[in-house]
Amino acid sequence: MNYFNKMRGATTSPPGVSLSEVFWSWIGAFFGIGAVAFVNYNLLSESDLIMLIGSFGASAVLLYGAPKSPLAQPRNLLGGHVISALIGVACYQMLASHLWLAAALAVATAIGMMHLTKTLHPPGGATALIAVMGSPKIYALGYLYAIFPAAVGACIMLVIALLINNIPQTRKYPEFWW
Amino acid sequence: MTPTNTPKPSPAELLSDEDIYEAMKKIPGYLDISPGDFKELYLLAYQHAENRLYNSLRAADIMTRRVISALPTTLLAEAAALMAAHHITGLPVVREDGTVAGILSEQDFFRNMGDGHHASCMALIADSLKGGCSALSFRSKTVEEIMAKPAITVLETALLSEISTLMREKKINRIPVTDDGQRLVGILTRSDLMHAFPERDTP
Repeated sequence: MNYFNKMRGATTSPPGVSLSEVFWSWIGAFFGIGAVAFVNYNLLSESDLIMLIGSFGASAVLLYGAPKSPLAQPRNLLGGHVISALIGVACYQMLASHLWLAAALAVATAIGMMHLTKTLHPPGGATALIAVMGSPKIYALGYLYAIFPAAVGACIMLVIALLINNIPQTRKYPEFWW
Repeated sequence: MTPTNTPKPSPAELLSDEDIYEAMKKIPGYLDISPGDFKELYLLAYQHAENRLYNSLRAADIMTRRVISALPTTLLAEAAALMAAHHITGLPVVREDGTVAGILSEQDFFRNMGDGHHASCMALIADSLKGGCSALSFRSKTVEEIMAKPAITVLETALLSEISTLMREKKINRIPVTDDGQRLVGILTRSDLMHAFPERDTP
């Protein structure tokens, strides 16, 4: 019975945020994703490199929407993306003929490794998955994927978070670095 | 005998979900924690703080410093009057130089009254009603003749956790606190320990 009782939930949803928080979340995400997307579409469009991957949208939610969260701190952001990217690429290269297995293994292992290294960052799961689902460009990058776009893209978003999250009096970032 | 009192809820247990929700509203920005998790965290932190204090507080931190005491040569009649006047059931016996010679409690009176085999208040009343006052044999006696000696004492630097264990083991209700020269500086009772940590089964 206890098993089913647990499904009822035990507490309330945390309170919502003020309009000024909504405003600063919007500003942060706009410039954070804006910077990465600008590099991707305007500076790297002729090259084989990419900067923008879907998982950065999720990182933006944490960095600019919940900057106090332990999941949104620099250690988690950088560690989470880089470690997950390496695992994703490794899984793809070992199991390219069984993509479903590569995908499952990549995300599950990424979560495990992020836990073990205290770098849990939910978008890391997407970064690992994208390495498997890929695009011809992403497959061609190989392990470089962990640096471009994962590490460098995350660094750009981190700089924007440092610049913007420290403007309003009610915000500060980060809570901790490492 | 101390009455069995129902355990008082701790401040942490009094905290309602609404208190936490309202507090979270005062912090701008999205807090990545549910009120339920926060409460669990708070209760555990509170427990930890209590243990930390319990394991770091020393006798000098909570002892009573103004101690009612008697001299070894004080007459029992005077000592009994002193205990009655201050509503206490025991007092340390202190020599002229301030060192502790022993401790005198109600029990010592009971034990030494009449034929010397009484142990309870009721036994004494029964005895007195049969004829004669059991206390009369005390008229010329002094404190040092019936006090418990040597007294179990603790240093003012002793940890409360150690004192609590000592009181439980030796089945004593009060313990004189001394400096390193064995001079009396205060006294600790079971109720002092219980008031300091109401949630614990002290001692």
